Order: sequence, then C-alpha cells, then structure tokens
Amino acid sequence: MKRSSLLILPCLVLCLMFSVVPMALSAVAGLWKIDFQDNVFVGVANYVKAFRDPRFMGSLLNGLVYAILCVAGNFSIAIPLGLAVSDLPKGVRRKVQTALFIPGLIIGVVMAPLWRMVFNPVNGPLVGIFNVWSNRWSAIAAVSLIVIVGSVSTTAMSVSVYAASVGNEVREAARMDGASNWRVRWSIVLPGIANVIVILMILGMIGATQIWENIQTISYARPSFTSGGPIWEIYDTGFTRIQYGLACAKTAIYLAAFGLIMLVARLVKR
Amino acid sequence: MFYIPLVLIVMISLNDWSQYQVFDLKAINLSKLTFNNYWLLIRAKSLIRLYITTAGFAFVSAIGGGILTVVSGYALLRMGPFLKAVSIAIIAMATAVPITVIIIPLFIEMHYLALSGLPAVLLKGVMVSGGAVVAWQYFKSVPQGYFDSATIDGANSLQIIWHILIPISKPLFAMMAISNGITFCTDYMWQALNLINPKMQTVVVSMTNTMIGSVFTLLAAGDNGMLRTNIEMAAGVAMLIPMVLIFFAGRKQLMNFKLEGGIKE
Repeated sequence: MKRSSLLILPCLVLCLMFSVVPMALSAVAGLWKIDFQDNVFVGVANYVKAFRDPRFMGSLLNGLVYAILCVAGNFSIAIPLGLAVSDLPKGVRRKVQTALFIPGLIIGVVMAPLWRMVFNPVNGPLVGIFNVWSNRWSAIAAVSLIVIVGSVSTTAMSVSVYAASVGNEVREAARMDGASNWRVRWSIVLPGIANVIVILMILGMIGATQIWENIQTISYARPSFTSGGPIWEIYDTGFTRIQYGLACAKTAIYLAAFGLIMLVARLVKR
Repeated sequence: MFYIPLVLIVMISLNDWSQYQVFDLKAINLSKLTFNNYWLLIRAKSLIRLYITTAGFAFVSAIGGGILTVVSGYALLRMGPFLKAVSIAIIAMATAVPITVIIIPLFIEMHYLALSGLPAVLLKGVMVSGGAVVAWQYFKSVPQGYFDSATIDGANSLQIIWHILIPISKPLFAMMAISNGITFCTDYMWQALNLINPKMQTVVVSMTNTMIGSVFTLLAAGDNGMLRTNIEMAAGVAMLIPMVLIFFAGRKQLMNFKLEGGIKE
C-alpha cells in the first residue's frame, strides 16, 4: 500500500464518525433507555413503543404528505420556469441563473419571523385561511407553502442548467419544422432531461420528509402540534421529551424507510 | 416573486411598529426607516462579537475543508483499486444520509467521545465527503508525468500536494472552501446543540434563539408584539449577512461549478 493512500484517513475517519457510526448506533442505542447516567437495557421495548406511538406513525404519514405537496408545488413552477430560462442567450442566462440561486442561500430560520407573522393564528393576515395551531392539514399546507417558496428558485436554476445541455441542433431542427418555443421545450427538451428531473423529484421528496426548522417556526414549539414530519418528531422525542433511546429507535425505523426509498431511486435511475 | 419575502424582511427590520398591535400593511413605511432594531441587537446581543466568532469558525471550516478535499482527492488518485472501492463506498454512505436524520445518535456519540461542544462543530465544519470524489475526478486530468517527475526529484506526498496540486486546483479549492463556509453559516441545528456558551455562539444560533425565545429581554418598554416582529426581522437580516458576503466573495467559482457541473461534454 502506498504511503500516499494514508492521506485518505482524515476524510474516512470523519465520514465514519459523522455517518456510518451514528447509523449503526441508532439501531443499537434504540435497545436502551438512555439518560447519560444510568442507561438501562430495554430490548425491543423502544421499537414497540415507536410503532405504537400515534404521533410518530402520524409523522411518517405527514412526511409523505409533505413530500407529495412540496414536490408537486415546487416542480409545477420550477419546470416551466427552468425551461424558459434555458432558452435565453448564454450571458443573460448565467445572470438569471445566478439571480435564481441567491434566494436558495436563505435558510428557513431567516424567513421564520416573516412566516410567523403571516401565519399568526391570532392576528396574521391569513387568519381564516390557515389555522396552524388547531388544524393539522392547515398547518401542513402552510409549512409546504414555506418550503415551496424557499426552494422553487433553486430548483428552477437546476432545471435550466440541465435543459441548457440539450443540444441546440435538435431544438433548431424542431423549430424549422414549425414547432413553437413551448412545443420544443415540452416535446424535445423535457423528455431529454426526464431522468434527471425524476432524480431531482425523488431527492426533493426525501428532503421534504426532513423538514425541521420550518415546522419549528410554525409550531411555536407547542407540545400539542401534530403536523410535524419524522425528523421534527425524532428531534422532539430526543431533545424536548428527553427520551434518547426512543428517539434512536425512531431514527433506525426512519433510516430503514429512507434506505428503501434510496434503493427505489437507484432502480429508477438504472 | 422570489425576492419579495427578503425585501419585506429588510423593510420591516428598518421600521418601528411600536404603535401597532396587529399586522397592518400601512405599517410598512418607507419614509420612516430606522436602524434602531439593529442598534438594539448590537448592544443586547453583542452582534459584532458574534460576527467575529462566526468569521473565525467559518474560516477554519472553509480552509480546513478545502485542504482536506485536495488531500483526499490526491489519496484517491494514488490508491489501489480495492482500497479505492472501499473508500468510495464509505464516502458514498456519508453523502447519502443527511446529518439531520442521525442527529440524535450523533449527539450521543459525540458525548461519549468527549467531543461535544466546539470540537463537534469544527469537525463537522471541515468534513468533506462528496468533495473528495469531486477532487479525485478533477485530478484525473492532471498528467501522471507531473507526479512522476516530482517523485524522481525526491518530493514526498505533502510536497507534491503543496507545490503541484494546490496551485493547479485553485478553482476547486475555492469552490469547496466557499461551499463549506456557506454550509457552516447555515447549519443551525448542530451548532445550537453544541454551542451552549453564549460567548462561543455563532450569529445563526444567537439570532435564531433571539427569534424563538428571549426577545422580551431586548425590549426597552413593555411587551409589544409588533415591535418584537421588527427585532426578529432584524435578527434574520443579521443572520443573512455572512452568507451573502461569502457568496459574493466567491460567486464566480461557485456559479462556474454549479452551472457547468450539470453539462455533459
């Protein structure tokens, strides 16, 4: 083995420390009741409790709803916008793509006060339309709207990058045959990047199940809030209700579901 | 449309709504702008110290991540096939699972390794996973003769990295450094769990805690709901400034990577 190969060790140690070990630990730690002083082995009790917890099972369903709503809302705007941007002259296109990228830098917590004001169930401007404290589905719709507004510009930028890589010769040939611009985008460009769009959608759905800060914003940390996704529920179990073992068991269950989705994504990609 | 929320936040942060009890569009007044909310944050939350702390940690994260990227990419380039396959499998696993998913077991692991607190934050900041593979692909285009000549002249691996690879990989180094820096500035959850001491907190942790929790202590007179909104908006803008500065400092390298990365040759 070449000595230069040893230079990979720092990277591998960090990857193991921050990913592989915690994944394995979540399954093992789920067998314990953990309070960092008197850890007690409880076997599969945490896993049974997790499967019987209506809030956790509800959060998995909420995650699925978030995934569908966020991806549907996001891509229904991002795809036509990205396709339109991809047709711009190169210099203008780069400037527009940069302008689309910047809003994506703004993390959820920066927008949090604005959304809390907008969705305030007592005196916000949308009182009567969204009731985020007492209606589960209203709260899910509100959080989904926040996610869509925050991510649609970056998604449109990604779509425009991939759409721009579809050759001009094919587009020009279609235009010479009398196709309109939107016909070319819909029938030539979009099928050409369909595989990439599907991968982006799957990654978007996975990301939507991991929404945390936007839910934290809307929930005002109320314990009765039932519209949280899986990650919010796991965080709440571990750091608010101080049940680390149960939170690890829930993490292991979520990782199993996550692994299944990644496997499906890999099969779709092939 | 995408910039409307940001513009609203900035305008509201520059207004004084102490006379309003409920939201009113007339409250957004462009002719009566004030920096009072920002002065309040500077005095009550030591905003300048927060920026200095954030800049220091972000710098360590950016430079450390850039160096680790180049070093790891070189190691992958020089490795045999079996070790390369194992290393890439571990890196792929780390890239595939976001840390938010495994935050609880990771927190427990750091506690038992006695790395909780600042070490946990800095180690996560310098961590590069997918970047190592990107660097490996980047270095594949470097003619093998460069490394062979340097080896014949007696250079060791570190000298090859310092004198050959880093100079030719400046765009890659810059892109990874900027990407790591921006990621550091936006990582609230892990920093909030580990940076408990207010003197060690970054601007994203302190300002988010301001928004979620103890804004009441900042108010000079009484509990006014809408004035609190102004301060929360100012906290949001304060959080945004480091990210925007890093982005504009390196936008050429970052956008070149983002915009060319998807194009197939």
